[in-house]
Order: sequence, then structure tokens, then C-alpha cells
Amino acid sequence: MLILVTGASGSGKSGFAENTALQFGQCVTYIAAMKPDGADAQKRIDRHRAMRRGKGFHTVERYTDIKNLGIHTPAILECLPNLLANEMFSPEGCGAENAEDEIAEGIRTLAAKCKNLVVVTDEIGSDGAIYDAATERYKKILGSLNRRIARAADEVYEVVCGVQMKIKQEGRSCTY
Amino acid sequence: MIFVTGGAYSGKTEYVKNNFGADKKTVNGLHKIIRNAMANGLDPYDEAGKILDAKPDIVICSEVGSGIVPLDAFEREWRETVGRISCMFAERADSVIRVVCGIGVRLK
Repeated sequence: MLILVTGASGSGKSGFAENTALQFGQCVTYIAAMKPDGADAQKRIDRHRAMRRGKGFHTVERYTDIKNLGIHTPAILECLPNLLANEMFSPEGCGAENAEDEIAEGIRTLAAKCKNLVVVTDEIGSDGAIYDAATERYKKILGSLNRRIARAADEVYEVVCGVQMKIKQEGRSCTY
Repeated sequence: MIFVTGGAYSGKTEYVKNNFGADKKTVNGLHKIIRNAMANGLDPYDEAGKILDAKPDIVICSEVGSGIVPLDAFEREWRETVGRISCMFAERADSVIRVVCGIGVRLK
């Protein structure tokens, strides 16, 4: 089962996604894609660690190349925007040209290994702002990835103010 | 009329093409039409009225109001106007769909 969870930052999607992943058993792997670059990132990482404490996750830090992760337990990938930024902009990433296909293939491969995978993404395209070319390209690729993963997913949720809305179930859109 | 909203790159155009076919009278990018009208000193509400008078089957408009209020006066007014005109279209529409990750979520 592949589940995609989206929502604005601070919407409560991580908490919901974690609880969803925990339904798949005792042993769930938490794949953390955020690099501890700077105080802000470290603060966010610490907050997420505290939130996960006692929930029994096995945490794996992985910033790029999820395709070759050897995980055979249910897992949660947190999160797509970080993974994409790492693949596009960090030296060890695969670069902007290949990032979309690399990640889409990575998620497909990982979902097959894990059997049950929850992917957390972000809604970033509703602010009306026009950014520099590199950021616009990032936005475009993230939007495209979100659609590709949603298409492949069995279930898709959008979380708003901590309330989850199921927008796809059993492989079908459930609101139209 | 079907009014379709959603963030940038959320898959609105693709959704419309896949679900309603290519033969519909579609206005794609209402937010851009509003922006161009404002940049050219035209009243965006008049332009919106003209679009409604032409009775399109489908109108697609990006959601642009979920960020920081821009410092720039033009950007601020554009954002607000897109929101107001979207409300106007949604009110007149038979159905309103918000696209999230390529999935059409029916709001009306």
C-alpha cells in the first residue's frame, strides 16, 4: 500500500502520517530526508524526534538515492520536498535534470520493498509568488512528482489544520 | 460552468483535459488574465464580466492567496483581486473543483 500525505507546513500532516504508518505493524522505519543544515533545520529535526519518541520507529537518515535503500519493513518517508532539494541542489544529489525520474523510480522501488509506504509531501504552490528560475523549476518538479505519486498511490490525504481529508481511496478519487 | 482552482503545478490543466475532454470552451489561467488587465490599466472586474458573458464551459484559475501578503502594492492588489474574482466565478459555477496532487476535490 502506497499512501501520500500532503498539506501546508504546520498543518499536522507529519503526526497524521506517522500514526498512519504505525498501523502497519510494530517495526516501522522512519526515513528522514532533512539535512541538519543550520539551527532552523536542527530545531525542526529535534521537534520531529521528540514527536516520534516512544512511538517505536527505527530512524534512518537518508538525504538522496532512496532507490538503493535496503528497507524491508513498513516505512514512512519524510519528506519529499527535502529529498527533492537534496537531489537537485546538494553535491551528492543526482542533479535537477534527473531528480524527478530518480525520485519517482526510487519511491516505486522502495514501496515494492517496504510493502507499505507512507510518503509526506508539501503544498507549496498556492502563495501566488513568482520566484527565481531555479526555485520555479523546483516548484514545477515537486508539483509533477506530487501528481505522479498521487497517481500511483492507493490512498491520498490532505491535512488541513490537523484535520485529514481523504481525497483518494482504493486507487480512486473519492470526492468526485 | 465548471470552475477549477488549485495551486501552481497541482495538475489543473491535465485534470480538465482528462476528465472533460479537449473540445470544451475553456478559459485557462484566469489569474493571468486578471494580472494582464491590471498591468494594462484595465478594470479586472470588467474583464471578468466579459469572460462570464462569453459563457465558457470551464474556467481554470490558480489559487494565489495562501502566502505572505506581498509588500509590493501591485502584487498585493492582484492577489486580492484573484481571490475576489474567484469567489465570483465559484458562486456562478455549477460545480467547483480544487485540484490537489492531480486529484479533483469537489467543493461544490
